Amino acid sequence: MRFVPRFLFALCLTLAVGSIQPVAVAQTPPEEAARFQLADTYLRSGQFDRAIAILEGLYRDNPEYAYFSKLVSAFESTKRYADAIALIDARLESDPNPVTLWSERARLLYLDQRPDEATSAWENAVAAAPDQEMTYRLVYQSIAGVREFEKASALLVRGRSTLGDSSLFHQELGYLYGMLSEHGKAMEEYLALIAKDERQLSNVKSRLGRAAGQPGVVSASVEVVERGVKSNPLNRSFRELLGWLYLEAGLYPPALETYRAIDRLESENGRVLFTFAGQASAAKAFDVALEAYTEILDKHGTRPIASEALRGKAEMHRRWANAMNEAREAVDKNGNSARQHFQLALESFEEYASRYPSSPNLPYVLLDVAQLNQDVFFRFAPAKGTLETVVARYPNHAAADRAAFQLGLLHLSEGRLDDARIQFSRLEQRLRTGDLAEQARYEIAMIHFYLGEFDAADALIAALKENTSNDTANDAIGMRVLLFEGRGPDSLSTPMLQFAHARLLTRQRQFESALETLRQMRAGYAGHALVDDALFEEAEILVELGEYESAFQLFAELPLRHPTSFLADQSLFRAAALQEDQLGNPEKAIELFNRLMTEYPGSLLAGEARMRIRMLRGDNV
Amino acid sequence: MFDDLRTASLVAMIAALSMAIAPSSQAQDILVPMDAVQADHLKAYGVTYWALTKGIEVDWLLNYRGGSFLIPYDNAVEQELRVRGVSFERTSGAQSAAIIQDVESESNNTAVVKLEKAPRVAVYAPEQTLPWDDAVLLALTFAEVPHELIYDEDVLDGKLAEYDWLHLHHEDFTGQYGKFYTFRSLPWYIEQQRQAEATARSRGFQKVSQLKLAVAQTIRRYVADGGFLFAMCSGTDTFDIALAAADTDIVPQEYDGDPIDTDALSQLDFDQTFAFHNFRPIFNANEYEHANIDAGLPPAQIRNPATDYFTLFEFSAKWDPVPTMLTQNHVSSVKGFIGQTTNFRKETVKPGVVVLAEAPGRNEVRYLHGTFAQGTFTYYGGHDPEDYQHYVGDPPTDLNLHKNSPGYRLILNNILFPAARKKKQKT
Repeated sequence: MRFVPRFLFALCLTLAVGSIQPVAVAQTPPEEAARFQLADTYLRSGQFDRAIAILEGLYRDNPEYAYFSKLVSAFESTKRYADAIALIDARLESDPNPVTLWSERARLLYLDQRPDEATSAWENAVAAAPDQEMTYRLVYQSIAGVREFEKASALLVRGRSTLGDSSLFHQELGYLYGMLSEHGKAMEEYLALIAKDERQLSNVKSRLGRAAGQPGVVSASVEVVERGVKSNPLNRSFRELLGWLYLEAGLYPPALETYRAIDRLESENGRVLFTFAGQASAAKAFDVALEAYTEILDKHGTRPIASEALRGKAEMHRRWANAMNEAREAVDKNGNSARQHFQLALESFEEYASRYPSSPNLPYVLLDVAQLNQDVFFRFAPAKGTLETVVARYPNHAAADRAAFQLGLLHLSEGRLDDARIQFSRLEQRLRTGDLAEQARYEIAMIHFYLGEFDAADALIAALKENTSNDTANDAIGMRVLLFEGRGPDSLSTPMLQFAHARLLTRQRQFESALETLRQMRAGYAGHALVDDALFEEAEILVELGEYESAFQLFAELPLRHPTSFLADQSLFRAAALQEDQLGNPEKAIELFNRLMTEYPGSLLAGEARMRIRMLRGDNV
Repeated sequence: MFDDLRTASLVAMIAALSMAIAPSSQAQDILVPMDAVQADHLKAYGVTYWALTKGIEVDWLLNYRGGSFLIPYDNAVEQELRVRGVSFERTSGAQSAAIIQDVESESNNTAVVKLEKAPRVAVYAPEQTLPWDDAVLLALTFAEVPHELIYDEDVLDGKLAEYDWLHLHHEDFTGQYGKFYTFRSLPWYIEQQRQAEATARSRGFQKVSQLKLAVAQTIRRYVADGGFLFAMCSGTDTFDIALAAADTDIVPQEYDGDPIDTDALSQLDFDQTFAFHNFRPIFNANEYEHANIDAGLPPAQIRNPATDYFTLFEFSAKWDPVPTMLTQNHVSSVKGFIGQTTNFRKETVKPGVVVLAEAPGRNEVRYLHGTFAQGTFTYYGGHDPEDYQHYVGDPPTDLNLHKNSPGYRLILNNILFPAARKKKQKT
C-alpha cells in the first residue's frame, strides 16, 4: 500500500520539474520543487556532485521515495555504488515490503562487480515475499537487467514450483531461453503460451520469424512442436505453427501432412492444401505439390477450388518439365518419353478447358494448350485450331494478341511465309508498341531474310537494333552483322541465300534438309565469309539431333580451319562442353578449355572456361 | 542464342586482338604486369602467393609497371596464371636481366624486393554471419589466398603465434557491438551480444569490454613480438581506443549496463595506442561513431562516388621499401569509400606514423603505417572499396566485377609485405 503515495509524490515532482501541471506543483512545497528541479538540471548537465549535494539535503529533510530514487540514480551515475547501497540499506530497515529494494541492492552489487553478494541480495528479495507472483517478476527483471539470463530463467522456474502453478511465466521464459539459444526450451514455453491463448500464435510466429535465420532455431523448434501436436492433435494453432516451421526448414513432405490434417480437421475443403501446393511448387518441391493438387481434385472435385487446383497442377507440371530441361530431348537415356511432365501439363490444361468452358481464365488456358502443342510437341494442326479459336472468340482479350503471334510462328513453321508476314504485320500495326510488336517486326525482318530480300531485312533490323531496351535488340544486332558480312560474291548473294534457307529449314525442324543445304553451300563457296557460320550451324543441328560425336568433330574443326573466325572461340568452347557434358571425357574437356584460354585469351568465354577447368580438376571454387 | 554469341564474339575478338601476345619459346621468367594491361589484379596476388607456397621465389618489382611480379618460368605457374585469368608475359633471360637492370637503376624510383615465403594469414572475424560484408575476407577469398578465421577465444589461447599476419576489418574492440544500438532487437545483434557475453563470462570477465580489451592487448603483444597487423574501417580506431581506455570505462550504460567513468577522459593512456593520440571517445550510445579520430562523412559537395577520392603518396622505392610496397598500385588516385571509420583526422595521428594516403585538401589520412617494437601495423579507413556506402543488410560486393580494383589492391599489398626478405636499410 505504501507504493501508492510514493508514486503520487514522485509524479507530482516529475510534473513540477517538467512545469507541465500547475495544480501538481501546488501539492509539493515550492522550495523543495525548485531544489529538486535544480538537482535534475545538474544531473542532466553531468554536474553530479552538485546534484548529489542537493538531493542528499532534500532526502535528509524529507525522506520521500522520489528523492531516494533520484539520489540512488545519481550515485549510480557516478559509480558510487557503496553510497547507493548504504542508502538502500538504511531504507530497508523501515520498509515492510522490501522486494524492490533488495532487487535494486542486488543489481547495484552486481554492477560493483560483487556478483556473489548480488546473488545473496536477490535471494533476500525472494525471501521477502516468496508466495507472491509479483516477487518473481520484479526479481527476474532485476536479474535480466544485468543480462544474467540463466539465473533469471532459473528463478522463474523456481517461482513456478514454489507457487505451484506451471502456467506462469511462459512468455518471459520463452524470451529468456531464446536469449540463451536454448531454442527447444523456448519453443516449449511458447507452445504452452499458445495452448493457453491461441491468439498468441501470430506473436510467437513473429518472434520466431525474426530468429528463424539463426542456425538451429527451426530444427530445435520443430521437434518440440511435433510433440505438442501429438499430445494435442485437435489444436489448430499447434498444427499451423508446425506447418509454418516445416516450410521454414524446407521440409515439404511433413508440411503436406500437417496442412492436410488442418484442412481435414477444420473442414477447409481444400483451401489450405491449395495454398500449400502453390508454395511447394514455387519451391520446386514438385512431387509434394503434385500430391497436394491430386488430393484436392480427388476429394473436392466438385467444389470451386477444384478448377484452380487443376490449373495449378498443369502449371506445376510445366514448371517441373522446364526444371528438368525436358525440351532438350524427346526420349531419356532409358528410351522413355522425356517429355512426360509437358505431356501431363498439356493433359491438365486440356481437362481444364473441357471441364470449365465458362471460366474467365479459359483464353489463357487455351493459349497454354496451343503453345505446348506447337513449341514442345510440334503438333501444328491442333495448335492452329486452338489459336484460331482464341483469336476468334476472345478478340479483345490479352491472350488473343499472343495467340495471333503464335499463329504467325505456326505459319512460318509450316512454310506459309506470306501468311506469316500478314499475320505479323497486322499484329504489329495493331499494337504499335511493346515487346510483342517488336517481336512481330523482328519476325517480319526474318521472313525477308529467309526469302533472300536482304535489303528489306537490313532496313527493318537497323530500326530494331536501335531500341536497346527491347529483348529483340540483341538478336537484331547479330543479324545485322550477318547481313553485312554475308553479301557477295555475286549480286544475288547466293551463299547467304542458301544459308538463310538452311536457317528456315532448321526452324521448320527439317534438319536433314538444312544439313544438306549447308553442306552444299560450304562445298560451293569454300572461301565465303559465311562458311564458318555454316559449319557452326551444322554442328548445332547435330547437337539437336543427338549426334554428339559428329557435332564435336565439327566444333573442333572450325577453329582449325578458321582460326580467326569470331565463332572460333565459341566453337572450341562448345566442343569442350560436349566432351564434358555428353561424351564423358573430362581430360579432353580440360585440354580444349585450356586451348581456348591459350589461343583466344581475350574471349568472353575464357572466364567460363577457367571456371569449368577448375570444377573439373576439383578446385574449391 | 546463336545471334547473341555472334555479337559477343565480335567484342571478344577485339579484346583478344588488343592483348599482347608473348613470345612462346625459350621463356626464362614470367612477368605478371600490374599496370593497366593486367586483366585481374586481385588474382595476380593470389597466384604470387600460390607460387610462394610452392617454394618459388618471386621478385616484386616496386613501381615497375604498377608493381609487377617476376616469377621464374614454371609450367605449373603459367597454367595457374592462365586458369585464374591473370595476364602474364613470358620473358627470355636477356629480357628479364634488362628489366632487373632497369628496376635496380639508381636513376629510377624502382626497386626489387625478393618475396620468399608465403606468410601464414589469420583473419580476426566471428563465425557468425553478420549482415555486412568484410572487405578483407572478400579480397582474400577472391584472390584465393589461404587464411584461417580466428576470434576472441583463439587470440586469448595464444593462437596468434601461429600466424605471421593478422587482419581485422569491421570490428569493435571497445565492447560496444559496433555501436549498432538501433539494431538491438534484430536476431544477428542479439546473437552477437549473446556470444560475446558468453565468451566474456567463460573467460572470467563480467563485461564484454573487458574481454575485448584483453584481446586487443594480446594483439598488441603479438605485434610487439614481430607480428604484422592490418586493420580496416572500425577495426582501426576501436583498437586504439580500447587500448587507451584500459584503465577506465568509456562504454555507455546501454552496452554494458553501467555508466561511463566520470573521469574517463583524463584516464585515457595514449602511450598504449599504435597510431592515434589526443582523441576523445564518443559517449553517446546512439551516435554511430566511436571517437573523434574519424573525420566522418566527406563534405556534402563531394559525397559522391564520382568525385570522392584519395591520393597515394609516392615513396622512394630503394630507401623506403615498406611504404612503397604498401602503396603499389596502377593508379595514384583511388576512389573514395565510406565506412564507420573513413578518414583519420591528422591531428589525432601520432608523430612517427607514416601517412600512405590522404584525402586531398582535407587534413585527413586514409591509409597509414607504423612500427611498434618488432612488428608493424597498417590502418586503412573505409569499409568496402567497391561499395561507396555499404549499409547493414546490403549484399556483399561481387569482386568478379571489380578485378582491377585499386582500393582492394591496397588490402592485398599487405599480404605480400610480410613475405619480403628483410634486408638492411640503406644508410
